[in-house]
Amino acid sequence: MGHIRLGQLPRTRKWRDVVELVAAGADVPQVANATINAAESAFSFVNNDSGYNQAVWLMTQLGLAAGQEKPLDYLRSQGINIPDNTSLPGVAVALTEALDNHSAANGGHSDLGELAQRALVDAVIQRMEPKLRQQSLFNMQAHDTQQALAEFRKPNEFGHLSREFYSRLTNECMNYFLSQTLATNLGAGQRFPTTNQMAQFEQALSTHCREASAIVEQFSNEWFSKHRYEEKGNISRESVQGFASWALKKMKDELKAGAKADGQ
Amino acid sequence: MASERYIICGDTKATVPAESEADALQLHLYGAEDEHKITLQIDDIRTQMYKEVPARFHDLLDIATYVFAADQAIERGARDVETFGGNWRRRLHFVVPVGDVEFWRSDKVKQCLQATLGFLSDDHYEFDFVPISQRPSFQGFLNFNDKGAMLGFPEQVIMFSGGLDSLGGAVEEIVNQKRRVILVNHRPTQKLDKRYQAIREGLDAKAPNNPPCHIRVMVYKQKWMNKEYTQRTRSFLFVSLGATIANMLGQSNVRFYENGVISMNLPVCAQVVGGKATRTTHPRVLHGFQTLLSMIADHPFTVENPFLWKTKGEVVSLIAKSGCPELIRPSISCTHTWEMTKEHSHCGTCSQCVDRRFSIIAAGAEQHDPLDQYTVDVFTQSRQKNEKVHEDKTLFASYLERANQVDRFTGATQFLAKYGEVARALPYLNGDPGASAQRCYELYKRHAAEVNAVIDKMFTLHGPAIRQRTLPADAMMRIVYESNLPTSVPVVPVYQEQMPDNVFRRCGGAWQVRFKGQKAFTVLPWLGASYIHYLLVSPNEARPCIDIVCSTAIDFCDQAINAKEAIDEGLQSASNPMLASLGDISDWKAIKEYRATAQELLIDIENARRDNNNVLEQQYESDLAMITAKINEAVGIGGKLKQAKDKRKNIRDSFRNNVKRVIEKQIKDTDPALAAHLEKAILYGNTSRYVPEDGLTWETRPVKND
Repeated sequence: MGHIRLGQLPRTRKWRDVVELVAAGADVPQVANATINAAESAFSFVNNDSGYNQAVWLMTQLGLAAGQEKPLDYLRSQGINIPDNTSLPGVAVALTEALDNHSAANGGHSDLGELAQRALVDAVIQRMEPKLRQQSLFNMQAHDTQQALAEFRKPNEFGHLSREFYSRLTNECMNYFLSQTLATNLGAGQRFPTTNQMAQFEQALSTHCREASAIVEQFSNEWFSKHRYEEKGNISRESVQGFASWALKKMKDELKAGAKADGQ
Repeated sequence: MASERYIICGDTKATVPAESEADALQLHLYGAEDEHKITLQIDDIRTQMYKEVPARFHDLLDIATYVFAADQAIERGARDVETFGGNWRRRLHFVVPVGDVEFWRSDKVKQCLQATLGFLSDDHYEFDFVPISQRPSFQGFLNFNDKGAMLGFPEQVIMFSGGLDSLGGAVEEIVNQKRRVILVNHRPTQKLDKRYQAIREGLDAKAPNNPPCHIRVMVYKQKWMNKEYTQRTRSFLFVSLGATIANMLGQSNVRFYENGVISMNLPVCAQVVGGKATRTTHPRVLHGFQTLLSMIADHPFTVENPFLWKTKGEVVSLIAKSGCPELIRPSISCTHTWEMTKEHSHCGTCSQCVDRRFSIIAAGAEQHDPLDQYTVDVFTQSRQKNEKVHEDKTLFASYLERANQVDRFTGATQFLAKYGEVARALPYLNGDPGASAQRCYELYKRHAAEVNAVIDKMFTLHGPAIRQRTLPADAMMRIVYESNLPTSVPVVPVYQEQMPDNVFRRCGGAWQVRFKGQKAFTVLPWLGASYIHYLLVSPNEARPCIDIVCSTAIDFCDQAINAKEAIDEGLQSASNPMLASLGDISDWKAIKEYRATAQELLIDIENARRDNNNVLEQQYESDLAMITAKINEAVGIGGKLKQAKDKRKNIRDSFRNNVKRVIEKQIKDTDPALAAHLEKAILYGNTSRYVPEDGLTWETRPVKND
C-alpha cells in the first residue's frame, strides 16, 4: 500500500446512530437504512454530480449503440473510443477515458463519480463477459466486440445492465461510508472478533444491495424503451439526468423498505 | 470542489479576481528573505554538470518547486465524507513567471502539465505563464554545494527515496549491472540522515569501481507553509530535478523504482477513491512526465519504472540475492517519520510498515529487518491507542481482505470488474489492454499469495499464543484467526433458541426487539428503551416513574443491583421523599408576619437615627434587608405566591419524552405496528403502566452468550 488517506464520518446524531448500530450488532438492512438516512445530505449532491450523470449517460449510449448498424462508430461519435480489435479490458479503458474526459471538462472529479466509474466497468464486464465466453476475452476481433455490444439490443438487456450498475454503485456508497466504522469494531470482544466475520457482514451488505437493485431493473427497461421510442432513437442528457435521479431514489427507498420488520 | 486558490509566484503583478484576492498565496524563489521565500538546495553536485542548463529546464524547476510548496501550504478541506470528497480536491490557479513563455503557453504543453498534475494530486490546475523579469544564475538559485565525488561519467539517473524499492533499484543498477549512476534523493527530514548515510556507505563498499553519486535535494520554506502533509506532488519535483540533472549529463532517461502493487495502488477499500491512494509513480503519471519532459527537451525523453511487474517481496529477494541484505536494515519505509526515535525507526502500524513487514517475511529476510526497529510488532501487538488507530485498523484489515479476495479470483475479468481503476493504468503499460490486464492480475495474484503465505507462517509461529488467547484483542494474528472454521464445528449440535414472537431484551450493549413474530431488529441503548423494558417486564402493573428512572440510572452506573431488587430495596414511591409535594415556598400567614416585622423595623431605624445610635441603625437595616429578600423570594409577579419547583414533574416529563423519542426515532420507521401498539398501550402519569392486548407476553430476559 502506498500512502492512503481516509475520510471521517460527521459527528451528527444520525451518524452516531449508525456507528452505535454497527457496534450493537444490528443486522445489515437496519444498518443500511440508518446509513441512507444519515447520508441524506451527501446524496443531495448526487443530482448535480457530473461524474455520476455521465456514467449513467454512457450506459444509455451502450444501449442505443446496440441498435445501430455500426455500433462502434456510433460510440466513437459519442466520445467512447473503442478500437476495432480490442478486448474486454479495452472496452473498460474506453469507458473510463470517456468518463474522465467529461469530468475534467466539467468541474473535475468527485468521489461519487469515481464510485460510478467502478460500477460502470463492473456492470459492463458482468454483462459482456458471458456473451464472449466462447471467444477469447483478451484477443477479440472487431466482429466479436460489435457482436457483444449488439446484445444490448435485446429486450430487458438495458435493465440487466442498469441493475448491475446500481447494485455495485449502492454497495460502493455503503462501503464508502461504513468501511472505517466496520474496521473500528474489529477485534476480540467487539462486533467483529475476526476479519472473516467482518467480511461476512460486507458480503451480506453486497447481497442486500443486489436484492434491492431488482426494483431498478424493471423500471430501467420501461424507461429506456419509452424514451428511445419517444426521442426517436436518441435520448437527451436531460432525460438521462432525470432517470439517474429517479433510479437512485428508487434504490434508496428500496433499501429503506428492506429494514422494515414486516419486510414490506 | 473547493473555491479557487490563486498562487502568485515570483515578482509577478497578476490581477486576481476580487473574491480570491484575500486568500491568494504569494511565493518566491529568490529575492527578499521574507515569509514567502522558498529555497531549493541541492548538495554534492559537480560544477560541470550545471553549466548549460536550458531555460526550459530552469523554468521546469521553478514550476515544480512552486507547485510542491503550494501543495503543502494550501490545506485540503475537512475529511468528512458527507460531501463525497468535495473538500478533498482543490482548485489551484498558478501565475508563474518563466523564461520561455511561448513554449509554456502552448496548448499541448499546458494541457499535458495540467492533466498530469491533476491526475497526480487529484486537484484541478490552471496555469498562467508570464515573462520573467530577472532571474539569478542557476547556481545561485539552486544553492549548489559542490563536493565533486563522481568517478567517471554517469550512465543513469535514479530517483532514490531510501525505501526498499528504490534500494532494490540501486542494487540492481550498481551492484548487479555495474553501472555508474546518480541517485537523486529528496530529504524530507534530517532524522533520516544517518540511515541514508549507512545505505550510501554500504553501496559504496559493494561497488568500489562504480560508486554512485548521491545528490540530495532539500526544499526550505517557512513553517507556516507546512499545512498539508499528503504531498501528492512530491514526485513532480523529484522527477523535474532528476530530468534536469540527466539533461545536464546529456541523458534522456530517468528511472523510478517502485513495485507494481504500490505503483498502481489499487484501492484497498471503497473509501479510498481517486488520489486518496497516492499516485506518485502511477503508469499514467509517469507517462505524463515523459510526454512533458520530451517536449521540454525537444527530443524523446523516457521516465521508467523497471519494477512495475514486481511485488515488494520480489524486490526484497532481489536485494538479498544480490549480496546486499544488510542494506535492508537502514532503509526506511515508514511514513510516520514524526514518530521515529533512535530505537524505533518504524511505527509498525502505518500501511507502509505493514507492507514492508509482509514483504520482508515473504522473502525470508527477517534476520535483516530486526523486530526491535518497530515500535509495534505488526502481527502480535496492539495498535497504538491514538486518533490514527481506526485508520490503521481499516487499512490493515482491508489489506488482508484484498489478498483473500484476489486469491479467490479465477480470472483477470473478475479482477478487472472488482478493481475498475486498473483501467486507468492499462493504456500506459506499452501493450494491448487485454494483455496488460492479464499481467496486472498476475502481479496482484502473486502479491496476494505472498500475503497469505506470511499469514500462514505467522500462524505456525504464534500458534500457542493464539490458542491461549494471550495476544491483545486487536493484534493482527488474533483477528485473522477464525475459530469457527467448518473443521471446528462441534459434533454435538448446539442448541439454538427459537425466538419468541414478542421480544424486548438486552443483547450485548443494545436491545433486541421483535413484535408479533416479525423480523427482529436492534434498538440502541437510549434511556427510553430501558424505561419501556421496565414496563414490559410487569404488564398491567402501575410503576412510579421515579422508580423506573432511578433504577435505570443505577443500571447505567453499572452497579450490581438487579433492577427489580432495587425497587424492592427502598426505591418504592411511598417511601421516597422526592415524591412528597413540595408546595409553595411560603404562605400568606408568614408573608403577613414578614410585613409586620418590616414595618416595625422601619420605625426602629427611624428611632435609632434620631438617637444617633449608628450600631443599632446598621443592625436594623441588615434585618430589614433580610426580611425584604424573604418577601421577594416568596411573592411573584401580580402578588401571587411563588411555587417551589416540582422535581416529580420534571422526572415524569423526562420519562414520557424519552419513551416517545425511542418509539418515534427508533421503532416507528422499522416496525410501525409495534410503535402504534406501544403508543396505545403505555399510559403516562406520575405512575406509568403498560396495558397490552389480551394474552400478549414479552420475553424480557437478556440474551446470554454461554
